[in-house]
Amino acid sequence: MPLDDTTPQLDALLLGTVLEMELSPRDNQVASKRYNLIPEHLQRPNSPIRPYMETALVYPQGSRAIGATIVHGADDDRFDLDAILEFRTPAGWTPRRVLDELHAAFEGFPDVKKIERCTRCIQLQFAFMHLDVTPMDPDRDPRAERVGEIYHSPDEGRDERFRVNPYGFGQDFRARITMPSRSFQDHVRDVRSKLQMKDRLVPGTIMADADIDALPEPIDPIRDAPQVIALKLMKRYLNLRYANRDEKRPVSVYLSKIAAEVPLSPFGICAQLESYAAELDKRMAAALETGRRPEERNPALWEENFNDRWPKHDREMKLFRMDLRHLVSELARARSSSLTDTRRIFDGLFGERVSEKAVRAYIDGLSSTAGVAHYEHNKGFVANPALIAAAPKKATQVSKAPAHHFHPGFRDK
Amino acid sequence: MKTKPRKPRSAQVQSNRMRHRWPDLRPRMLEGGRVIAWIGPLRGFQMRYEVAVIWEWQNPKAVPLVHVLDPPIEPRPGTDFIDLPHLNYDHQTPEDSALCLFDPDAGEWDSTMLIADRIVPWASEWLHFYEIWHLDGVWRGSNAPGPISVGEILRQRQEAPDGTRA
Repeated sequence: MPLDDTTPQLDALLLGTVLEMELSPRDNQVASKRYNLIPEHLQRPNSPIRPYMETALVYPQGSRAIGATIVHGADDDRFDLDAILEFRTPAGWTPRRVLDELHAAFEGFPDVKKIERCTRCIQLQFAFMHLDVTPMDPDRDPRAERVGEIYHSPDEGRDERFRVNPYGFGQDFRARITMPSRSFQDHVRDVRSKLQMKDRLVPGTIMADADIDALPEPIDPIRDAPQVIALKLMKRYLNLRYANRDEKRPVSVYLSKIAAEVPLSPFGICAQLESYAAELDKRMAAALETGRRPEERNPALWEENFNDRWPKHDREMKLFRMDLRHLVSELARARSSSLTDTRRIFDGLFGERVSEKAVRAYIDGLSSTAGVAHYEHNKGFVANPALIAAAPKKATQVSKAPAHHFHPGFRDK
Repeated sequence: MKTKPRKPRSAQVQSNRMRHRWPDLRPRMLEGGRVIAWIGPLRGFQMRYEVAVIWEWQNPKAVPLVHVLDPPIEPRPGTDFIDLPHLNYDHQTPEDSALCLFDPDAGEWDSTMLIADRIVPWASEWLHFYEIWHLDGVWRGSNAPGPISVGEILRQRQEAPDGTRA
């Protein structure tokens, strides 16, 4: 099956899969509240870093900054979110001390179950949510917007500082994404509104319900762009592939950058995911062939190498290629499989729970009332025509067939 | 105001429309030219089925029939062909049954209409709902009033005390 073919029903299942992995509106509100509580908590009277928090700035980085947050999926219903905490390095503090003091300062954070000091960040572990807070020392003026240095302090080895610009990357990512057609966006919103999304983040006693509900949660439209949908599907797929491996997985920021560089496919979500996987595979193949490891740079700060921690070995790239090829071959199989077999393929790719829910949501969304049916010329029935019109310029021709009723009978010989 | 009665569509008009909308359904003349069969791929839920659209073009009362050639349609495990929803049931060779795509009592099809614009899209829609039916046994397409399968028709007849259709 060529890559340039549309897959309207498969796309509907892929979309349902992605929506099942999203945060509910209430989860988003709770997550926002936790971001907002960071400076407040660190400025409390007995905070060891209180004096340095006056000009501190907190903002999302990673998936939350680019609309690509999903449930992890391999072990539990967990979301991993990231934040940058900007404040000037106190005089004489080493990276180790910054991380240690910040670790101590988070003690008593509302609802937190466990606080871990990692090599570059402090991880706040809540029920169903991890929040990685990475401290950053902002550059001195004149400063390129939000450029600064993060700290690296491993148990063994020397302390280091790295110049980064996650905010700039988020801005660049957003600028590269092509928003789909209005009908595609409307359809995604419509499907989402019909889902019974489970709230995973239950607030504790400190965050009263009224407090949470009062927070208006801005909806990020970028999350519904096919390039971002493909990124979320890839992340979920890799979460499952690496769940039982003792290997480093491709870093999210690298995956994100490439996802935004793959142009919007006019043929739908499956084609977008296939093109994305093919692009990653091509890059791995080139790296293995030339012996030069990938070095994707932050477009907003050229010295920031997104591949500084992955890949370290050819083995890792070969493993990743195997996963990419498995994904592409399974999608090709789904293109020519029955719904029953497609369901099994999705179980393997994205997890049983989400695929079961995605199929159920698709079926429940069908109307049994006779109405006009859409069909793609020379191909056939289309349940959701908006999905094959993601690109503003339609790749395919869709028409309507008049309403009718199926009817059983005996063959009149 | 009187409306002019519409004429049955000629074989040429039907063929032209089929070639325009469904170029991969290739026409063949069968049975000494009495029947046109358009044979080719049609999408179900996602996968392609090889189908044959059969039309006795010289018979103005003939209804175009759609047969699924490959993969052949099958009943759900533990059931029979008579339980397949919306078949034009062939009791001698049930596996050769055609699809029943419209309600003959509701005027949804007549010879003035275009096969390419109705029969073929409806057949694809049937295949889509057939695959979902295979998943959980519930037919979610639109239904004409009454039973949805020949099996149901027969059971209802048996249940009616006077043997008539319930």
